[in-house]
Amino acid sequence: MNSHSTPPHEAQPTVMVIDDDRDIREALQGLLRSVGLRVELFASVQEFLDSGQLSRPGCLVLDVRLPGRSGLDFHDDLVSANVHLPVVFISGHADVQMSVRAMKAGAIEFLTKPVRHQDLLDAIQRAILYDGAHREEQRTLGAIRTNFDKLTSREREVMALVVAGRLNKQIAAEIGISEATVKFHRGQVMRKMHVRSVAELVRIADKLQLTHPQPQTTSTKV
Amino acid sequence: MTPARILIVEDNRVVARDIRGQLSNIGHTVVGMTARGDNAVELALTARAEIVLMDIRLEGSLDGIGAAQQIREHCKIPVIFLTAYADDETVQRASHTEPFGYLLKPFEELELRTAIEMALYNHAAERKLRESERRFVAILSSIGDAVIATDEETRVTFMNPVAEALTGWPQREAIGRPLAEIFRIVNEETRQRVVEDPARQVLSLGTSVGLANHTMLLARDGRELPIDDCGSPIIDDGGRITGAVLVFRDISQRRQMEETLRKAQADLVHVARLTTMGELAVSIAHEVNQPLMGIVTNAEACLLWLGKDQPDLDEARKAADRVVKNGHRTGDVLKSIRSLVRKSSRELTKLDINAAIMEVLGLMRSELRRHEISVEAELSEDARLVVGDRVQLQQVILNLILNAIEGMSATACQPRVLNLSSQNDKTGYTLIAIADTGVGIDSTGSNRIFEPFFTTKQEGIGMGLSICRSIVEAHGGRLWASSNSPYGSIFRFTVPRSANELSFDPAA
Repeated sequence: MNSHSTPPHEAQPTVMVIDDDRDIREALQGLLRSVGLRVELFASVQEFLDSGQLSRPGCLVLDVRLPGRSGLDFHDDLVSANVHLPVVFISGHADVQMSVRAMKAGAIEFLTKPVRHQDLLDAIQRAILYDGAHREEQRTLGAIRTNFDKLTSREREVMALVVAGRLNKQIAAEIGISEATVKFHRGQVMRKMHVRSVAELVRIADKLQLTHPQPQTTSTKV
Repeated sequence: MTPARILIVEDNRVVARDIRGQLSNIGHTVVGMTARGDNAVELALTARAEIVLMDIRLEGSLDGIGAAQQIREHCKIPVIFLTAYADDETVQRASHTEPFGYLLKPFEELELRTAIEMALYNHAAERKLRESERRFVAILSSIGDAVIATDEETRVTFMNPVAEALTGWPQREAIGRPLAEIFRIVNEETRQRVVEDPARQVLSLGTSVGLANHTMLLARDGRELPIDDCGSPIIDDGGRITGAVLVFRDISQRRQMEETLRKAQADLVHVARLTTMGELAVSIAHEVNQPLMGIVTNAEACLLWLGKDQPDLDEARKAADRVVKNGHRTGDVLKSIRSLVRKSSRELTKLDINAAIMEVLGLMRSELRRHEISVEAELSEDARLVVGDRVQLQQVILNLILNAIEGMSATACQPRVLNLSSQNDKTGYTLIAIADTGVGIDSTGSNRIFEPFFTTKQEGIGMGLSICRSIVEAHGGRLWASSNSPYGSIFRFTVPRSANELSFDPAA
């Protein structure tokens, strides 16, 4: 169904349709292609998994009822496996319970057959945008991590205290080094993390979800 | 010796007295004596004589033979002639009165004694015979079945009142006529005269025979009655067939009841089918919705292709083609639903059972998917053609699949697999098996599952399997259940592959 090489697709998002009904697959393919979207068709979850395209940019269009594991169960699997591929559900029934479950689990949209093409295209558009944004964020986070990994343990210590709002003097006192040495480490952190202000450093620390090391300990010590 | 009351009719008083003496010696009682033939009858009646000793030559206008004739006609008292004449003409005349004895004078006491004993014995036997005959006539007149008896030439010798009423022939007119003239029968469907009348058949075979089904009796007045009959031979002491007895009855009322019952059963089968379809309504709606979704989506794609600045006609055409294809698919689904919902009389055709199975599976796909059941079908090509009513066979398959689904949805962790197979069993039948991996059959209930109103379900009325079995059996097949290994159950049924195997009642 698809070549093994992933890089060329990296640029253009793909709508991956999983539906066991061939007529539905073909109809969706026709519709999506007419608006210029790239489409891949799969008859089952297994077929999709076997194709190894979990990390491909784009979104999934999933039938709720699929042979074997249902679309909803598969979505749960994706969520718990930390796969953030956005999902648009299509169901033969306007089942409120099902749609609530799907939306709670983070689905982009839950549409009822026969689907209005504009609703579907809108949902797919949103899904693709969400996926793009998410991937962008992941990429940024990846870069930050790489930078952070380059810090020495002393630099990490200093960085944690800086983002916790301590002054150089306080930091020097807290970890028992001279203020000049703190300044040096602080300069290294800013350079290695590619930031120019403390505010920026705080934002990055948030993304890294760094826990501030016992912010209250200093006051008790003093 | 039996003492008897005896009347002596003798013109010679000396002889009469002598006889009286002899009779007294023997132990009989003489209840009267007369010399005249014309008052012999009255005397025999008033004196309640049990036997009459009759001289042939008597006083008065009536001789002994005439008097015996009257006695025989009026009171059937046995008569023994006493005479000195033994010429042929007299003996001939006397024998017409069926005398019980003939004593030539002079006779010995022993001869007299023997003659009286014999007469009494024969008279008793004759009375018994007459009683028996009367009894049979009474029985035959009062039973509800029509009876006609014939001689060995199939000429009518007897008809009871029911036979008279059904054929429209009174016995007195029918007696002596050939049976075929009175008992005119035709085949109900072909309207062909039944070639051999049943009496002739009985006479030639020498055994009881039943009449073919669907025989109509054409009565003398033009009525036509469906009848059911059998004939038996009358065999004499020597083993010779001397006639035939035909017993038949009007079965129009029974026919009517059978027809009513058949209609009721057909209604029940239909209602059961609708109920089943009702249970499947959501799934069936889904099967219509799928191609409908295809139609809408393809049509929209088609419009999008056409609406571009540079319309892509090729893509638009492809999308339109898919609309057509999906439209036909919707039609097919609706057709199969309609055929299952339609109330139809049983219709026997040669049909493709594999296609029928796939059609049912098509309607149930969504239901199977909802219960996360995977389907395996092993349909054999040489089992394909069977003879039967397509709708009813599909109803059986539908019910058995639903049953399997219910059995499997009740289990939690086993893999749910529905296996359908058809195979040619090489004995003229196609064997269809529906196997599941569900809860299986409770061994205590396994014999009862086919009984009406037996159910293990909360909501079932317990008619499904019972109706399945009656449908299969009406097709001349069998339906049975057994356990699947390692769990679940298998339901199997057979359907004839040609009409020869069919024990289907064409009238039903």
